[in-house]
Amino acid sequence: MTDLSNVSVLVLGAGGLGCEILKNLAMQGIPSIHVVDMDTIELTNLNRQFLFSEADIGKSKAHVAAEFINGKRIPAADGTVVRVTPYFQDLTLFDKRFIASFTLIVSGLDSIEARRFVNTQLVQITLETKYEKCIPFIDGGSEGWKGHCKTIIPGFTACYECSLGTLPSKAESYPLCTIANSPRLPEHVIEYVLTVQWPREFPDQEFDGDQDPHLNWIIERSIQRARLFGIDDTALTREFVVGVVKNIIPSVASTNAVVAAQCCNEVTKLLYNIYDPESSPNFVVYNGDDGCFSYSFTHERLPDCLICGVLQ
Amino acid sequence: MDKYDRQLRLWDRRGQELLTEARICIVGQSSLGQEVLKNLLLPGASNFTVITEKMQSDQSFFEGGSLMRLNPRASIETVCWDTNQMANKHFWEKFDLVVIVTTYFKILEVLSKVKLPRSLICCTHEFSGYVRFISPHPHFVIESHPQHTTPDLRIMNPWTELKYYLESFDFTLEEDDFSDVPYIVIIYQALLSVKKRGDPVSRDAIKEEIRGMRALVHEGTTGANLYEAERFAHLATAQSEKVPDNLVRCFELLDQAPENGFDQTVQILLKSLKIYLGSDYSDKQLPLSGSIPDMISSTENYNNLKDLYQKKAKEDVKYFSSIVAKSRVHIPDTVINTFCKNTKNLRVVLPSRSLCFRPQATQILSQQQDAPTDLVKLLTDLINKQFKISDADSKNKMDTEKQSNSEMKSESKKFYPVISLIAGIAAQESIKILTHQFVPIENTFVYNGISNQSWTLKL
Amino acid sequence: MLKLRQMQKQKQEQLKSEGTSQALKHTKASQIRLQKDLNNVDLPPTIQIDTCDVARDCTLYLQIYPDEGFYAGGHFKFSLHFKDTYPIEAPQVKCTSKIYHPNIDPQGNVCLNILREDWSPVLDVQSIMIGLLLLFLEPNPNDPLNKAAAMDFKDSAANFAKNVAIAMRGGSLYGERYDYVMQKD
Repeated sequence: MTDLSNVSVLVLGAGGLGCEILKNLAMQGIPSIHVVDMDTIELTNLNRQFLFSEADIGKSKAHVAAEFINGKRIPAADGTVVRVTPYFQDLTLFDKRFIASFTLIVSGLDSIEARRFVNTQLVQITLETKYEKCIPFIDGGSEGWKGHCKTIIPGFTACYECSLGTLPSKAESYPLCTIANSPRLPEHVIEYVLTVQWPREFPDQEFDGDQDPHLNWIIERSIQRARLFGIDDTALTREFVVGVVKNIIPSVASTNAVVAAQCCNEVTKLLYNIYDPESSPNFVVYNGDDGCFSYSFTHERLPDCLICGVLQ
Repeated sequence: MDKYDRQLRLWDRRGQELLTEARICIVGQSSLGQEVLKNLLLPGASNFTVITEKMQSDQSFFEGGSLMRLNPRASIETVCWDTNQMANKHFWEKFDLVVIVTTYFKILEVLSKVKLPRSLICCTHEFSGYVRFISPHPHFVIESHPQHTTPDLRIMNPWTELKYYLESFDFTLEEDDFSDVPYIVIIYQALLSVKKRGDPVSRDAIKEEIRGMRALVHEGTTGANLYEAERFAHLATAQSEKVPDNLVRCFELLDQAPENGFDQTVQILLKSLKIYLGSDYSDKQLPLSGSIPDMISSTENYNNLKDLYQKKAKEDVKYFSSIVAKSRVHIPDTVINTFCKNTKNLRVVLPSRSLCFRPQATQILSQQQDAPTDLVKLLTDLINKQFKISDADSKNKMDTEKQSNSEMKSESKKFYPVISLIAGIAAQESIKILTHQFVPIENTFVYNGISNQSWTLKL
Repeated sequence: MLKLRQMQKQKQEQLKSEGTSQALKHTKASQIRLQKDLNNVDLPPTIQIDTCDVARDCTLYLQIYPDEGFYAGGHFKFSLHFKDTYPIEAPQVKCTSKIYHPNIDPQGNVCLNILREDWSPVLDVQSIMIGLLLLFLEPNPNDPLNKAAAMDFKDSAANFAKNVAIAMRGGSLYGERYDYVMQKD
């Protein structure tokens, strides 16, 4: 049997995917789990983030998640009890030595920047230790009914930066002159109010979508502007406007369950020597809106990748 | 903000209501069943009956009250399997969906003989698992939310008001101010020119015509709308009177729908749609959806066009409603509206008809050319795991499980993600089935966690 | 993870015989990419580039000196701010000179397709520089941000040229006072 007593896994994010990843890793019997998340719990998290309840709103996700799992005293595969250690902080403030102390990293982040940070750190670690350390990085992502799982082994399989080209452009963006002169959609109106009217009116204040007065101003001005152009303003409900300005991505428990499970299954395969870095596919995409579709393939390393290109 | 905000953006209040009200039965108390329950409590499903095979349970993540806090409004009734009571179809009638995760043959045997409502059956074995959708009736979907659709613009055969509007544009290309004309107008005018010359109408002919326009426009203008028109030239030849295949299939299967609840509504709507298509009013065209995509245009031109399409859509709904009214079953306007908006994208799925795999199922599968041999083996193993006939007496099974030592248990830990994955898919399919939004699996999903592959088979 | 460990051992052996490889200069992928862009820049004589704030806050300054067209003889300042999302997202570009131009509004917003709807990670600093330069050589009145300027341009090129000349010398048009942007000879 594989000895898991020295295995320590770092989980990035304790959100929709993070809760699922933490639960799975605990049930897999990983003795030492660490989780980092700088967010606090909000009401709209509770349709999927099952380690939290309404009483936890405002508290640190990492802390509440760790407390929940530690309280269950789940037996680990090495005979001890699963222990989760929380970090309520920005993960980009972790130093390299800390990151280098883990066996594996699993990520359920929604931020591309944080993933790029970790990816760069891991490549650096493999580079500096001359391949003595090679920490697999399993990256999950979900959006509505869709998701992906990438298995990144620095120096061996495509790194996060190698597959940057497969990312969809971040948010729908409209030509500036369209939103200025010939808006047609409610989104055009909101975009203009947000990117042109707000900075003009409040040159010294950054817009903050979490502040009600800011949102109210955007909603009010958007309705005014829609009327000015004869655009149907009934579409400009609070939910709709918030969705556009905060670029809200729909999220549902079941997709997170599927994607997180996919990531954690990769952990099992790596730990139990079932994963072969030379032949196993490193990329799985999933879509559940029309039947269940999944597709796995090997994304090759980019020879001139700006990040992992230094690892020959 | 609503607790369910992030999912309402997928299935809206209509879907949420159906999910909240649905009565769901989960047969089996394994980790798989617990995970399915969790995945359905979270989005707000509230009425559950869990049927347990035995009193003691395995080590589970979700114990006691920890499930209830996910949805404090939910009621979860836990009852022990009782063959006398549960071999009767009346026990099952009250459920909208049954999710079967048990591997007790005695229970499965009873379930396979009784008439069940829409059901999902699922099972995992080590790194693999499956989910199967079972129902004697076809499953209709009004709101399939397709990712890509071709807009229905009727450029080829515009109704009078649209034709009048499209022809109101004076196309003197050498004159400058042309950049605010939406591509619907441009494509229509190109179509007219091609027809006028007596050339055969084709996508390429329209494209050629638009390219010709571009050469003529005032220098210095970007002609972005002309590029856009060229890109969408295929819309000129879209055959709006051709009933799409998915709808043809709905018509074919409509008589197999049961005559109650949602299915009765769908049946009436589909029958009315047939009458509608045969009427003089429709001229063989489906009701217009009324929405047009965004396109380069001045606000005014776009608003005018949008108004025309919306007005026509409203008229179509009105006429369609008058047909529906003849059925004497009251169908709310909102349902009729949603139906008319989605007629192009109506979908039907044929679930598997019986709980047990037909004995020859794997045989049929192995004869299919593209079925990989490992898939056949995988599915055979899964079926054997769930329907283990040698294990007919559940008492024996319990004893074997008791004997399993701690080492065995710790070995099985590594397969937990696969349980979690199959439970995720089972919950996802449950939501799609209960909300009648998005398209469920047709009808058996098989997953291999070693190769990360999956297949969907019609069994 | 035996298989992986074996593969690592092989690499380690290989590296022993080959010697050391180069290190990454930055910790942020966006900065590494921006540095690569800057190394590959091929400056036309009409553009000057100032990188003094790149290390501090990822902001790059450009000055454009059009040598032909309506704006010949002027110099126009731009700031390009690169976030950690670069190159997935385009940098934020502002024209820091207040100028009279159909596609640039008095607040400095720039209407250039590659900065918004047509941005792609394969584009770089060079593409943005060329895009901005083209705005001065060929202003586009059909995508206006400064509507008055666009109307003037459409109505009469001569009148537009006259207005550009006034604005570039710090004059006022339609109640808006513009910056003096003439090159000092």
